[in-house]
Amino acid sequence: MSSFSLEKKEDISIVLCGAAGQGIKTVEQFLTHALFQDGYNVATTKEYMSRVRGGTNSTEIRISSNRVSAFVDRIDIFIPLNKTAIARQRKRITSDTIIIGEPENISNEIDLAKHKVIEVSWSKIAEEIGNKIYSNVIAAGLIAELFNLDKEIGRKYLRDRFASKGEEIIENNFKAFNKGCEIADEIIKEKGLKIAIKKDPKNSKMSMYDGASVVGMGAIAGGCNFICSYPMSPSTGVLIFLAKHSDEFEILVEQAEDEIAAINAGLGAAYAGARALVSTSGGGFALMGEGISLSGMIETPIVIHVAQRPGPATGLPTRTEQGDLELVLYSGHGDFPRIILAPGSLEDAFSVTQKAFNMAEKYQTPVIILTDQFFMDLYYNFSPPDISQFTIENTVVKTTKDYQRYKLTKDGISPRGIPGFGEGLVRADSDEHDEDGFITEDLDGVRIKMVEKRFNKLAEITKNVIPPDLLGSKDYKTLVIGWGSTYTAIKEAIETIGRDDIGFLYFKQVYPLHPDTRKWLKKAEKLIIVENNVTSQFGKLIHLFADIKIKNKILKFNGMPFSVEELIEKIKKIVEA
Amino acid sequence: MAAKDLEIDTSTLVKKPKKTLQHTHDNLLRKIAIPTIYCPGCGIGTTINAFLEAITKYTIVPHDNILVVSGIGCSGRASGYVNLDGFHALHGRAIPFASGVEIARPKMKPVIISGDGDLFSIGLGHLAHAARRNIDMTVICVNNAIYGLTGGQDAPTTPVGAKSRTTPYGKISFPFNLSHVAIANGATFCARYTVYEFIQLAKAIGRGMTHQGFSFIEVISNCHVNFGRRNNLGDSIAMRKMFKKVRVPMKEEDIGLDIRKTDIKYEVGKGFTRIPTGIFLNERDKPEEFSERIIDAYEFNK
Ligand SMILES: Cc1ncc(C[n+]2csc(CCOP(=O)(O)OP(=O)(O)O)c2C)c(N)n1
Ligand code: SF4
Ligand SMILES: [Mg+2]
Repeated sequence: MSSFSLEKKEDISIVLCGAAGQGIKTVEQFLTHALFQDGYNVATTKEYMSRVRGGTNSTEIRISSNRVSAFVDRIDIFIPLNKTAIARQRKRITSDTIIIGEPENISNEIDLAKHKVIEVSWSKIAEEIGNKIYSNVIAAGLIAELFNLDKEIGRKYLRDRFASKGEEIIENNFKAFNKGCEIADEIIKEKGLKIAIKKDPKNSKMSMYDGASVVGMGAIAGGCNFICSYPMSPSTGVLIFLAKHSDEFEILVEQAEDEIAAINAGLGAAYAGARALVSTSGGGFALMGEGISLSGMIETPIVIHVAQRPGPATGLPTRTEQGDLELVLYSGHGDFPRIILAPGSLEDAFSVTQKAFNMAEKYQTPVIILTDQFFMDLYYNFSPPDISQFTIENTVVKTTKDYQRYKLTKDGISPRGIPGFGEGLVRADSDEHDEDGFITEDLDGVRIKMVEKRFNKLAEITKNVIPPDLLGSKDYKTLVIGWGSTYTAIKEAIETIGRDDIGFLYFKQVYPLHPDTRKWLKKAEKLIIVENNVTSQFGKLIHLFADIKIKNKILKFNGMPFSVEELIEKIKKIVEA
Repeated sequence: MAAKDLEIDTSTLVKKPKKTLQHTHDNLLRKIAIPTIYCPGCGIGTTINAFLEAITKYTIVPHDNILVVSGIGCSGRASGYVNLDGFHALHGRAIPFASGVEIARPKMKPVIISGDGDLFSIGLGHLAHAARRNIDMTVICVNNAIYGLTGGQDAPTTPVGAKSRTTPYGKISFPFNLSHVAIANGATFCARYTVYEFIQLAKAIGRGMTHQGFSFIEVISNCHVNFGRRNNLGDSIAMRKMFKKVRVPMKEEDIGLDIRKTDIKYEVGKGFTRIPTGIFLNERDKPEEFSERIIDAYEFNK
């Protein structure tokens, strides 16, 4: 058996696996908070079943010297918390993986002679302390000690966490934590399990957030003051985040009776002057189709966050996919302009969401932000952006007596009045309407002018598209194209491959496309598109709007995000072909 | 009765079921799907069990004619656990799907087992219209006052002041009285029981299924994990004890036209303080159910 030392590693992947409600969360929250507090770079990704208790879920925690945040297949330390954990993750467990856990969760599942196994009967030790439930804190203490966590940080975390439970429980948690540390010390001595991850000096200026919270924060920074949504995994985190902070930021929150109500209430609020957000997933967005079209017709701003999950229909409620790009691109009957954004990093989730509100307000049209389950649950430390960089652009005007809501202008954008503010009347109509907002059947006059007016806005929108980021080589021969949540994995894969002829073009606005898209793509000898769906929906969009057909496609649609390793392998294969 | 109810419920919850332990309705369960996804002690298990008890003992509907349709939610998983024809619909759409089945094949008896959110939030319009048409189906609604599966968000049944993940400062708007809504829209049979009242519940489901027309059975259930815990109502047993204490048996005659008498009461800090239960409506002389009427109207060959 080879050595247990992980000393040479620059990043370590710890995977916790067990049933929902069984303690994964306790261990995960302890480790992420405490190790981050102690100065480490921490990133977690999650996969879980659609149920509240039981099943087999897993969380991957990466602790790294240089900040990384993608999902990797590799498991350095595996903590099985139930009997099905090893079976569920078997493909990812290799002879290098160190498995630490209860004998009963390990020995029947794996050949002990061929694996690096450390058996710890933590439930028995926990019972000695007073209750089986402490076994999770023993596990947390053990891993923390491997990283030489400052014990005061660990104790402070436990004290805060269990403050409401009384002194005895806090004391027992301390005991469990210390016990975990002691076991770790033995392991370090006996097995030579050493870890030498460096702390990040910039860490103290950072905070840890997940995708859902950052989209919520971006919305607040964008001036969002109204959210009416219907819960739907994996989008609900945004609604919950805004509900939680509604008091502090004066956000009106009401859960809608369904998605149709949600978007119509959002449009009503926006018509009245609010900056409204609606958060949903593909199925819910499908129900909103008519409302999206209404937004196009009445030119009322609305931001819709769509956290994708695999479809069709109810699909896989708690899994990830990028399968709804075409849905949001074509949703809503009739023609009208729209904007589709897709952040891939938490930093971008903040700025893109913030901008979305200004864009909706300015162009008076629906703006859709596409994320997915992987991104909603992606959680890592980063420097929160400097709020002073961001402004809330308000376009509402005080109306005069002769105010016309749909006044024809050169760029198609009419001054936006709201009812009750000024002397004018603000009339809107879901039927075709004239400049006053009155229903019309003047086909060759008003109808044509209004269609053109609405479409003129697209030209304006196209002038201000958020450009894609070019990473890797500027003199690329091969250009890898990605959008949204695949960003972290593609970036790390390209950096690991380390060739100087591969570039990565990461789109955070996917529609309309940046006008230079064709130019950037033409420069490459080889194009590779990476997407979490089966038909390469973004590839089709590029074909349609930039007139370039991308032959090399790396597609995944089993409900899981791309791992860095599989991207390295697949990209290399295409590059070297 | 209560003891038996709890005993039956826990049989699916024991961590290591002994080989000898058999479920009372073993032959009606889809064993491959067991253990269920339910949290130990969840009232949905009791509800499914009451349904199985009903179709075994308290109704004349043959098993071959039963179709279990459910929507999305913890309650909605019910159709997957019983060995009967079944369909797991879109969220909120169990009733229109079942209406289609019932109209196309009138001898089928759709039984909808689904949640309060599924049936009364997103699905409310469909429920109202199926009741109005008096379609021959039985709707068993698990009212746990919360969205269980999605992690504890506000439901249209969440009481004023109660906390959920989307009402962290306490619920502001008023809840529905589900039975009231069903009756007001034309249901011709309506009953409500808590999961504590197992036998009455099973009998009511049986009677509802035998009834020709739209029957509605409201089950007051415990989601101790996502509702109870957040509102300090304790675990499964504590919540069932609360149901036992606050249920108020009522008869159709007691209620008359004043269906408000069946309102559920809740106080922040105390929990439920009044849950009227019983058979609230049994309209035997109502015009026939929809399929009969449609066949008569078009003079189709019966
Ligand atoms: C169109 C659509 N919107 C939202 C959802 C998400 N969703 C699934 S179940 C559910 C609510 C479940 O609550 P309830 O019906 O009360 O069932 P319970 O879990 O409490 O039994 C929601 C909102 C969905 N599946 N489809
Ligand atoms: S979350 Fe609530 S409703 Fe769902 S299984 Fe658990 S206890 Fe039952
Ligand atoms: Mg419910």
